[in-house]
Amino acid sequence: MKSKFNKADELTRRQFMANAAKTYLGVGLAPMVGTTLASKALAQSGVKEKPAEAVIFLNMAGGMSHIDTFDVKPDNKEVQGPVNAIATKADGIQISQYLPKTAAVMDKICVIRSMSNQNGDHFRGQYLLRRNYPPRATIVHPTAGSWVMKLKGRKNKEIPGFVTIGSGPAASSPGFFGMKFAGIPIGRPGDGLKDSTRPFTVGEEDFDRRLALADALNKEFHAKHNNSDAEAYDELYDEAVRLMKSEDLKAFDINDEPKADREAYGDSNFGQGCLLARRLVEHGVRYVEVSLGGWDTHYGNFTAVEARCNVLDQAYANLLIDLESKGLLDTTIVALNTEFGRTPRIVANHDNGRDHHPGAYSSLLAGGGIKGGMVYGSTDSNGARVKEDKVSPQDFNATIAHGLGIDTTGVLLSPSGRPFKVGGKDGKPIKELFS
Amino acid sequence: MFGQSDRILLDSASLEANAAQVLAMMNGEVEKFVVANPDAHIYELSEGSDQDRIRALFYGILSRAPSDAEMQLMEAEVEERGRAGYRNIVSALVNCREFIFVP
Repeated sequence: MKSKFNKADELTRRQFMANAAKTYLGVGLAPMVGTTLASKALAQSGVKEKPAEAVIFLNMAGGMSHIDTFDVKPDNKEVQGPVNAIATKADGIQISQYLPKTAAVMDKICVIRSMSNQNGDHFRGQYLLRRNYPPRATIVHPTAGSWVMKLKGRKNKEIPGFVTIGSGPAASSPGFFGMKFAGIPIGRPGDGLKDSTRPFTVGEEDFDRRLALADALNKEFHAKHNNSDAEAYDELYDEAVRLMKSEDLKAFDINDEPKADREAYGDSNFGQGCLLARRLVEHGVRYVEVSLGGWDTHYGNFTAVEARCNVLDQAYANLLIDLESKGLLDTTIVALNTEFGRTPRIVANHDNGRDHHPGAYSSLLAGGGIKGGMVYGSTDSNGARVKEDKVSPQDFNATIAHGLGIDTTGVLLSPSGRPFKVGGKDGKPIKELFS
Repeated sequence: MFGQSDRILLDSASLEANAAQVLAMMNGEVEKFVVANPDAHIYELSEGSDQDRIRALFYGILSRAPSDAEMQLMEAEVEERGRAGYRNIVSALVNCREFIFVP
């Protein structure tokens, strides 16, 4: 028998605490004690106080070269190639010359230079990056955004709590949590949420009549077939209709932003996606993934990485500045990660390319209580192996979850009764990254 | 949006649903090219009496005849809304669970 919590829908804070205490700590709450005991129990279990409220996860798809971005090796020209290191606003931290705007806001950023995993394959690497478990034929694991929806619920009930921008369908996957916890995929940021207004070909009365007709058909269907997936679709329709009528639909429309603000993010899908992400977070969306592809630089690594960095640098630095000026940076974790790094070896006959290198790579965290201007972990002089403080993708996501006030030791059961955790089997939050 | 692979990664198609798909079914190209398009094939198939036309829409979309109760409901819709009633029926049929979950 599954416990109520395992199947729980969106939770209020109070329910969450009570359920978390019950499920994670094996204690039931005396009703009169209320949340006090639960809060104390959670504090003892190491759950963060004053948690962040939202996450913007920047997914550098394809495998971002760490040596040419955030783990420069200026003293080792053989692996560094033509890229120069530049000083940043944070004392003692150098990054690539391709990222001057980011260098200027380095005081807000924590660079993790000791990322490492065992997957040199894009699909497996991206799967792990988002879902914290290796792919299995028997189950689809929920993405990090779905976990956050499951454990934190929505902040703004009117609009979806989990949105993906410019990513493939896997990014919004709810896995075994079911479609209620799926992300909303946005293709082009400038188009906003497509088809979210009533078409001119149908009046309001007829629109409602259509819903009523479908409803009547569905009642019969459900009575006959009793399929929980089909019933979950009812909620999806309710959600879509609620969204169409919501004032907060404007959260999806970046055309509302002043032109100067739009331009500050750069004229790229990724840049505009970051602007949309900020807008969504401002309106109470919990988890936004924005993808920037094209990092798979087997051929012509330096030209390609420079071009990617131009897009990233403009958008990323401006995102941090913008969030801060809106007073959102303290409550929003901005994470940047990739499925793996790239080889120290430069392949000359591939127009100076670099191949996949999961053994060591870099990621970033900023905002939401993360200490800025710091480096965590390091690699050897070639950027080939992690020298100290190895961080797995699971640790990285567990750290984000911890920042959101989620107890990363909690176990949820899949519908088939298998146990899963928000940070994967072994993911541990790096608590010292928080101030 | 309906889960087809982005063709950037191998095997990245998905069968999972989300609210954006629902919006597309209600307000997107289905509305433009089928429901609100008087030349759509589904309307060409449907001729004769009200009952014949409703039956044709059911066969065209759900591959079955309407039950008596459904027929009554749809007839009332057509009586009240005329041509718009047929559009409402088509939209309701492509947006009902049975259309997605073929039993």
